[in-house]
Amino acid sequence: MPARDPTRVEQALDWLQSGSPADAERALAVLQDAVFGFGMKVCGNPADAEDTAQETLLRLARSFKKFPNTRALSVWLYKVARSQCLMGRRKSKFAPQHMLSLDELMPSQGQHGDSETKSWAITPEEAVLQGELRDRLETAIHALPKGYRLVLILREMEGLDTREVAEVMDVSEATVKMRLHRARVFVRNELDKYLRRPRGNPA
Amino acid sequence: MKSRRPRTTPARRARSRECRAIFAALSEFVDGTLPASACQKLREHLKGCSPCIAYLDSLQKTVDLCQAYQTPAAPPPSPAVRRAILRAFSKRVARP
Repeated sequence: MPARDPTRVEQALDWLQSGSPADAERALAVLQDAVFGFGMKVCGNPADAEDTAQETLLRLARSFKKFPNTRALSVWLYKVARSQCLMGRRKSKFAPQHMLSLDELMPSQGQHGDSETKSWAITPEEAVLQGELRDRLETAIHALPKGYRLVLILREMEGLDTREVAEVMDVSEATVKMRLHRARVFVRNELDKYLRRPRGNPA
Repeated sequence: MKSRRPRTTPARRARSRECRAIFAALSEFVDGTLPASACQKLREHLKGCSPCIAYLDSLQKTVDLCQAYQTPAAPPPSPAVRRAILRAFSKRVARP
């Protein structure tokens, strides 16, 4: 498998190793943004995301010389951020803790017909601009059980590869692949309900 | 009114079994990590199954949407936290 490009977190961690104050400032800005963003995706609220960023960066400052390379440090950083985030004060009202069954997620015959092509005729650029679709995506992600949500966020949004996600989550790579597929399908099915709704009623 | 159930033929049942197998492998197909033989089988299936083509398209779009998802910009760390972190970094870097 070809090596992926370094993530922005890895890039920032590289800057930190240089020891220059200007690079440290630059790295801090990127890491603050990255860990806060990760916290927002996982916890869904700014207060917990801020706490996560602060605690994670303080721990990073104490530990970052212990790691042999940027990749190991990045995995450690996400592990810390993940546990900080899950200790958040505000528990999600969604996020039931259960397994997603592939059988239940698979649409029944006739339910995934050709009309989908029309409902899903949307480009990513359009989607970014459509606030309502963005909200639906966010709701679907937060409705995922925790273990699936974290895998989806780490893999799709943070750019970690399967092995790194497995390390952050302390699970096997096979489990990461299984959870990623089910999480994608779950989110896809939630968005499908929205995209297939009857339209034309002005709000 | 009596609802009419779709007639199930052996060909349709076989298609459904195939669709189930394909469904389980779609993410690996999207990621390009599906083994070559399974990939070939999936491509063959897709040639004749418009529901699976549509589902694959919507799954790919879901992945694209997730990857394009952005959170609001982070607020800057408080001055005290910023100072503490930068001080700790400079000490760590200075230490051999």
